[in-house]
Amino acid sequence: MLRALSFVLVRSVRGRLVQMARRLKDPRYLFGAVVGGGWILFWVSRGFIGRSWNFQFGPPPEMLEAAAGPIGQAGQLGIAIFLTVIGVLWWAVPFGRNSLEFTEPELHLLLPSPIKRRMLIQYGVLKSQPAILIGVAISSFFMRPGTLLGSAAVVVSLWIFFTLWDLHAKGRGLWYARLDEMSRSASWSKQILLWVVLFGVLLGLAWSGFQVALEFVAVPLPDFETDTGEAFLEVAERFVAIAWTSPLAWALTPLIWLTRPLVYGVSRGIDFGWFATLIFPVAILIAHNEWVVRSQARFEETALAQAKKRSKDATEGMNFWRRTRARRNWVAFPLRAAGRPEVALLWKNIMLVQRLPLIIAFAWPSALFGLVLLLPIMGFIPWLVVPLQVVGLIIMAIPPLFNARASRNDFRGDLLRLEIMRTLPLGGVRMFVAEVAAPVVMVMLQALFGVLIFVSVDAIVELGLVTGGMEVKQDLADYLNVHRLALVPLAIAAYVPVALVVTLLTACLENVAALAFPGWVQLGTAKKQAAAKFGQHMLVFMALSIVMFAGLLPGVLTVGAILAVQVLAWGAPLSAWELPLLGLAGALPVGAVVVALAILGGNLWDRLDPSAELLAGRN
Amino acid sequence: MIQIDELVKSYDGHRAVDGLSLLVQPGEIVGLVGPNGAGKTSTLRCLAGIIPSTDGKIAICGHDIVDEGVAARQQLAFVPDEPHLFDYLTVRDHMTMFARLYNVENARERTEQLLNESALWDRRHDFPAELSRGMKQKLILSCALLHDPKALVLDEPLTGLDPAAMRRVKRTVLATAEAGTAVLVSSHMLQLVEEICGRIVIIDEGNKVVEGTLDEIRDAVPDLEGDANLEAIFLKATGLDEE
Repeated sequence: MLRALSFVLVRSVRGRLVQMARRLKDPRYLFGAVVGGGWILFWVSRGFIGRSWNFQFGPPPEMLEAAAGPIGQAGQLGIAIFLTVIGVLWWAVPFGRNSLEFTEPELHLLLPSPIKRRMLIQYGVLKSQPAILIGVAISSFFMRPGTLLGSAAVVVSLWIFFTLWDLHAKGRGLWYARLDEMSRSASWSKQILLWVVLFGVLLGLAWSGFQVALEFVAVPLPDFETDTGEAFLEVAERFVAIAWTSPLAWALTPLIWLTRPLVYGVSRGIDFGWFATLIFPVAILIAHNEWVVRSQARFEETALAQAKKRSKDATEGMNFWRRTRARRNWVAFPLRAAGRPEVALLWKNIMLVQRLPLIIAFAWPSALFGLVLLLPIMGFIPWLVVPLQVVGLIIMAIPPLFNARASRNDFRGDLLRLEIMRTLPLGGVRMFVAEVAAPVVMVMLQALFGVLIFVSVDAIVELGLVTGGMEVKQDLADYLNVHRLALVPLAIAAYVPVALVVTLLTACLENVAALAFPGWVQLGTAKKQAAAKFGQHMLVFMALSIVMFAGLLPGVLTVGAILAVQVLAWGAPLSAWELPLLGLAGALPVGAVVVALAILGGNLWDRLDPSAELLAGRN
Repeated sequence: MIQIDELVKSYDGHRAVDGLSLLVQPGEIVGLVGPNGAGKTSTLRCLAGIIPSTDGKIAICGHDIVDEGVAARQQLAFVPDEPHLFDYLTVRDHMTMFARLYNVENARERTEQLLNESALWDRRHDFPAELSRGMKQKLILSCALLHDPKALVLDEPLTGLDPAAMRRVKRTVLATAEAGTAVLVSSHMLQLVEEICGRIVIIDEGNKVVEGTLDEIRDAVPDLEGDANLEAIFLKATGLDEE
């Protein structure tokens, strides 16, 4: 029977490969594949440049040495702590309980057939393997292991780790599914037992971690400014000396053993010792597999419901029907019937993220922040000033670079509703601009919230309501020949146009990619996060990051050229009064790239033939 | 008016639609029927601008769907067979959005009227996940009719509807045509086509097999009895009666 199921699995993979190969007949995909393949080849082979052809394209020897020493041990301990915390939260928070994923045809064909339940679950488990193997291959490239044997060790170790992660996720899903089948009292008693265990684990971790920290801080830290590398090594050695023999390490030993093959393989390659490190992870893997395939949970109904949900492409809607009547009347902003039609798409796409009126969405966290700000003003927690400023800076910096990628309230959602979107009376460029507008507006609101935090904290410092603040400000003001009170407004005036074009660039790139390669970009709002998808996400993320930095290059070069001429050629010092102009000078070339991308995106939309990638099978 | 001239749509060299020509006058309801894979959906998708045609011309109220796409789509409404609605918008949100997209005058009254006609007014705060398939179909039809289109294209409009809803949709389509809209209906429900369409086009393998009123196509297809209904005509014209 397993042979028949393996046949289905192999044929499915083969079918997908054939589909991918056929897609390459389209010049767009061929171009994308050549560029992407070339980039991966460059990534893999760049270690050869300037070295002998001995496959030593891994990390430098000193890093390998460090990995084998105290830094490696400290790293293992850190990973074990991280995995424990994540594991506890994962079990405690009732999200993402999907366990075994079957397509609707698979369920309709396999469930009525005379297949043992154990085999069916095993088939569900094996289905993840092709994606896990791709993830392992891609992740191995990024880890750039040392020798060929080291590479093999990394591949095997990562495969064990990813498969274990996948099995654990499935086991957890089945455990919760079993819980749903029990009586309310039995279910609650098991749930409470689980929470007690999880709480105990967290408490134990916190207590033993605290003991290690107490011992660690008892001796002063070395001087990092004299020799940073030596200081790091000394700190790592001291940490390992304390932690490695503490109850913390004893408690985390199973998790340390799970990461041991990877660390050992990277630093020493494959030898007898490495095989010995495999014994525990492989035993755990086998045990996990048995735990999953022997599950008594009735997964069939859940899997069928999930398959139907997936096939309807309506995952994002399911959270909304639970909203109260009052919340259903909320709208991000009132939409009148008269006016530019693009605003309707902006409105719709913002509603995907939130129905709360935008003014309230901005005012509510601002008011909350105002209350927090009162604490240092009233003399409580005076040290909060600097962390708040740092939080403000982080909110200003991160969202423009990354958040438009994650929001997906643009073409990545709307390409699933082509029958509506393609018939709307909007030209290509206007449609493209309307689609990218929502993520840009949302990200800019977040960035402006960061500005609000930073400026408010700076204002209360300048008004003398609190003491502290960033000491570097006066030095910076002196360096930029401006009064300290003018520095922040000038910097904000420079920041806003730059943040806007960076956000626009990110959103435009994501949407151009979705229109150019709809068969490669995951559409819809539900972005699958699993071991199997980790590698692919990393690859796409890296590729888009490289393109984004290429798009930012004209702005960086323009500002660099202006500064070079002014400071180096003319000898004129930089002044803060120039900052807004420099911001604009940097933003304008990037803005030109954005305009070019919008025109490209508009043309792609006008000429899009979604027959093969998006509408196939919808007849 | 809907005008299709020598429409060709190819997929990987296979011609799904092969030189089809069609004219739907204002106030007319034309039925497009054909067996599975005959090219009906491809024709309608080309007509609505969802997929580009390989060759030929399509015009909506005189506006070419490629060269004057925006003007053509402003006059057009397309009701797909599978209602892929926005799951995060309520029924009323859908109407609000479409009102703005087409700059509909007296949108509020029109929304109320259309939702009342389709028995959705009481469900105006519901999300698509809470609606039955038939209700979704009625919602997308209401959205389509909101801007009083001059050309209406319906792909399997009665799928998933209960008898009362079917009757209501039929009445709506007839009333829309009476108001001067050119209506093109594709359906496997031959009884519906026979009932509401003034003219019928039977296509097979991307080609027009026969076109005309029911009486005209009955005369055009040989070896038919005098009172043959559309089902008999369709089976004979497409050669499916031999199976």
